[in-house]
Amino acid sequence: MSTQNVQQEVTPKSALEELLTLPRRGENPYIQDWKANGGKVFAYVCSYVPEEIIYAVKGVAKSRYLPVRLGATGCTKTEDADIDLSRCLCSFARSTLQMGLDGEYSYLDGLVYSSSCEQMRRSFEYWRDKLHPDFLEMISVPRTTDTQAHFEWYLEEVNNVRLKFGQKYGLLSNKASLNETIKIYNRFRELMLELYALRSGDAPKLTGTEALNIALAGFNMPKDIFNEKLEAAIEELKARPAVTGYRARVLLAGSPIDDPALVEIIEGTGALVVTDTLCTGRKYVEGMVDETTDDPVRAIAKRYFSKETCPRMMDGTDARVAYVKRLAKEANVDGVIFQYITFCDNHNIENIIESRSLEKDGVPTLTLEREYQPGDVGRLRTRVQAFMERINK
Amino acid sequence: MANRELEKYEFLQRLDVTCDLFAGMCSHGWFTPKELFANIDTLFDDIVKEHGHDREYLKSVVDNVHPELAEALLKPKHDMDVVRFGKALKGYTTALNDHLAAGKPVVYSFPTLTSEIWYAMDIVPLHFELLSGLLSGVYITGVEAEADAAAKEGFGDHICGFTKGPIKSIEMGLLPKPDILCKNGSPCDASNLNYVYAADLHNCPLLVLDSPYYSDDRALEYYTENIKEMIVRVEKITGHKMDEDRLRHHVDISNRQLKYYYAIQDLRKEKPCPDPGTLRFLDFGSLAICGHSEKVVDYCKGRYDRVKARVDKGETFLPAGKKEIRTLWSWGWIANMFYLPDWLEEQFGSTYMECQLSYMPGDVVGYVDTTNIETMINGLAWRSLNFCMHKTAMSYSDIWVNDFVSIAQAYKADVALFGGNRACKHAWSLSKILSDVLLEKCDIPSFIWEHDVCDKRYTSHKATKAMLTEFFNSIA
Amino acid sequence: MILGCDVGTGYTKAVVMEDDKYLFGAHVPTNADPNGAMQRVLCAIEEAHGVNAGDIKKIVITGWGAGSVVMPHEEAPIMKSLARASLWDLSTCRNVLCMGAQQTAMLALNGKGMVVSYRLNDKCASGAGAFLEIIFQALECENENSAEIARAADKKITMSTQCAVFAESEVVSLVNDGESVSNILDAIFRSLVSGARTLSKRVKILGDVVICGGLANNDRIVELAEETLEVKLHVFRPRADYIAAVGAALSVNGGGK
Repeated sequence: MSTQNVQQEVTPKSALEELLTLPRRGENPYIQDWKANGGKVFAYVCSYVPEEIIYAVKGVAKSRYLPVRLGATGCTKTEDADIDLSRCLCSFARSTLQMGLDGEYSYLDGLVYSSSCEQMRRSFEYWRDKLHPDFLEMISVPRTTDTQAHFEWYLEEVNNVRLKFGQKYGLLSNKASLNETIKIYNRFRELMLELYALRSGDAPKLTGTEALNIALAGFNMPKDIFNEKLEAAIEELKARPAVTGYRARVLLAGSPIDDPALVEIIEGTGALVVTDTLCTGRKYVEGMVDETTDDPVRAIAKRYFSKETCPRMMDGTDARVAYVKRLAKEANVDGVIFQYITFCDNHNIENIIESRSLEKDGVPTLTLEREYQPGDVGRLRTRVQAFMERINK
Repeated sequence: MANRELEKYEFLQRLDVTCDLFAGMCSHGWFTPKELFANIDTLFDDIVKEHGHDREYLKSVVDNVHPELAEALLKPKHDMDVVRFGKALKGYTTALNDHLAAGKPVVYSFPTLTSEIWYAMDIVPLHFELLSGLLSGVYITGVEAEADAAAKEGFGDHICGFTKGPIKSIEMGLLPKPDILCKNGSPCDASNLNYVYAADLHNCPLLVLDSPYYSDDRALEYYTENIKEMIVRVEKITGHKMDEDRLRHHVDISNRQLKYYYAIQDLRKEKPCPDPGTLRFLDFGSLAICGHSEKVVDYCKGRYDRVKARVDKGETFLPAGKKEIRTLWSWGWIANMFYLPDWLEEQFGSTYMECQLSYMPGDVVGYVDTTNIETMINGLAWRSLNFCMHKTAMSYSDIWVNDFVSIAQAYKADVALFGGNRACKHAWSLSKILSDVLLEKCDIPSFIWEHDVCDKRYTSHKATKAMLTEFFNSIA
Repeated sequence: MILGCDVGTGYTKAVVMEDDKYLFGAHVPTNADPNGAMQRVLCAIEEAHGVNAGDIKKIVITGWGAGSVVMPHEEAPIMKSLARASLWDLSTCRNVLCMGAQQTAMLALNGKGMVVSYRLNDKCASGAGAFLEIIFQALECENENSAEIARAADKKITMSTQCAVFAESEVVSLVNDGESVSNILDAIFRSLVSGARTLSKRVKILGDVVICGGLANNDRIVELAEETLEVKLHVFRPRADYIAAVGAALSVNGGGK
């Protein structure tokens, strides 16, 4: 008995434990390793920056580029960002800028923006003028995925950024490295979808909070290493007993969530978030890059452009509604919780459209308005509890 | 001749009546509300006779007009321009009436897409935003009830009034159901969402013209292709074809209209500014129906003639002895308070330089080459990109900031007013840079305040006046 | 003697000045009744200092309610009054931070004492004194002892929201969760001050800063403001909330130097 205890003490964390507790940003050991080995780290803003383009770059002395998602997990105040961006803007945009101003992103070598939404894209000028990253580019993303011309514009934008990397650092990706990277990212998506299956089956193996923590780990480390860890973590989860003691199964939708605190508040009421349509969740991993083409950059761009769309796209409403309905059905949810960050026009109205359709189909929905910062626990908790009661759970 | 088709939709009916009120009340030489109301029955008689409106409806509409706006519009410095605008807009509403009565396609289009393209396809489009703006400004209740209905359904406070006002109007029977919706990506998410919501609810095509993040040659080429594609689709869906001669006809009109528009902008650089600011919202209206008819040219020419005459005669509309304070409106006119420029002129001698909701950079845009369809579409695409709320909103904040610094310098502005719509995110995110740069580079203090562009309840007129009084008393 | 008054949304303040020297002052709640408040504050001055109407040469009024006052008086614009009084107290003053019942204002003055820019935070109730009074009621404490109570805080809680409506409910939650009044009050003060900081950073700090307005009567708020603004704050004398009334009185002689 005692030898077993000693053994447990010296055993390193399991893959699952490691992913669940991986420190953020500059504290992240994988980012630290990456930089120590001469690699560069670039933050991308939102879902329309094709990460593979960045990760596939391989230069001399094995110098590599790591794309990480610009987020604001753990941000508690936005005092400095408010001065410039003003308080009329979404607190997620202000929080990401605040993190920059606070030096939380001092390890970054640059950022690649996409003109995703009104509010995120405006923070570009402040990064440029106040934080002076070494490399800062913008991908102008069309407001619709409707036609070939729109795709070609997007592809050209992506190629421009690819070339800018080359001009700046003298390094480029080639077909071989791109194909290799595509494989890694597609494997990542496969594994994440396996993880989602473990969440949304009859016997869920993990909570929504845990799933988000794993996803956050994935945003902030090299995908090939993450894939190994995730494979092992999936095995651990399979071996785990199912999650019990929850009152209702819910799908979580709406504005990006990259701070587990909100999911904790929701799950603290007895709801279990078994699936989601979040851009930081399922939408991030839905859709593979076509590995059979001869033009990997085009294939990558196609995947990002055509995958399940963000509501900032003016087309695709029907597809987004169908998507949330499909996921709600597949996961056998009792209800859907929509949330949006105050001042987010896109998700406010998208939520109305999606919830209306779900309600028509007899799926109960709740809409929460919130700030990005976790807090205001009492109010959110009360609303979710009332929802539980409404759906008799 | 009555526009009976418009009577089916209260927003359109009220728009139509507004034209007749503008044209009617300001053409009799009644310069004060007292005179107007002493003769109101005459006005009603005239309007009913000429335009066939229901007298009771007309009366109810007049009861709802902002008294301060009526007072401002009746003033000699505005009156004939208001008449000409009323007639020009009436030309549009009558055409819209006939269009709907003939069962032609119901098309909603954002004003920054130049309307000549629609007219050339024998389509008279509707503009949600022009409507919500006009109704908010002219009428006491504006679009408040409609915005409240939207709020009740969960549409956030932070959704722009230009969207929140009309977003439920079709459902409420105030506007006809769309056959096609057409939107360019600019200026913002909220404006887009109005169209997305309508397309989803009414199950009709939404044609999106992508407004790229840049305005260089490549971007212009791309945007032009978007317009061409849109035309092809409209032709396919409606059977209405683009007609080169019709397009030339309307572009010729708009070229002439803009000649006066640019000339007026130049004349504003004179001291004192010879152009009253209350008419600026009408100017925006004239851009929304750009090229529609000779009446729009008449409006712009009339504006120009009066402004020029003041310059030639060395006259001013400012109260005697009032020192001029040349004011840059670094956001734009406030839809729920159209008469504000008039009040500022009377109280403080504050004249209206330019604003982001009506400025057309003439030296950049020029005129559209009418040689052939290719040249016309290209020219219109360029003009559309340079229309207010297009590239200034769509791109980096530098464009807006630099434009306004140039204007401030060229017009020798003294102060700036950034009365920002609280829902206008891309504007608020640059409000500080803009005011800092204006102070540092041009020595111009800015007064920044929040309002809701369509909803006067958020920042009341009284509060706005108090704040502006404080500002002009403190700074100038 | 000149009577300078500031009819604010929360309180009506009156000061008596002679030859630009402050003699004494008084304040009463406005209760949304500028004329009633003027009567009451004049009574208060008379009773406390034996001054009567005949001794007053002129009445100058500023503030929210100035336009509604019926008794014969002159009006002074509030921003100019704040500037004037600040320079009177601190001749090197270049910025004024005024934290009042309903709005917070940050002013910048040029070298000649003219106001060159100012920003107001009047849309958001959560930065204002009136909101604070509601919180005091919810926490069952008084303004007078609140500074001491807040200083006793042993834990930093962060208020998540900038919205007054949500903040009130958040306070109730915190109380129910067993948080101490000290910690909650400290969090509220910090939140208030953070709003003032955001506002004040939208105006350039050009030199010495005078802090004034009702909230600046609270030592703890001033301490926190100095901490977060990272600048030395000079509390207006004789009383932080009398500043505009003093400025109004000074306007009679073309303003204090």
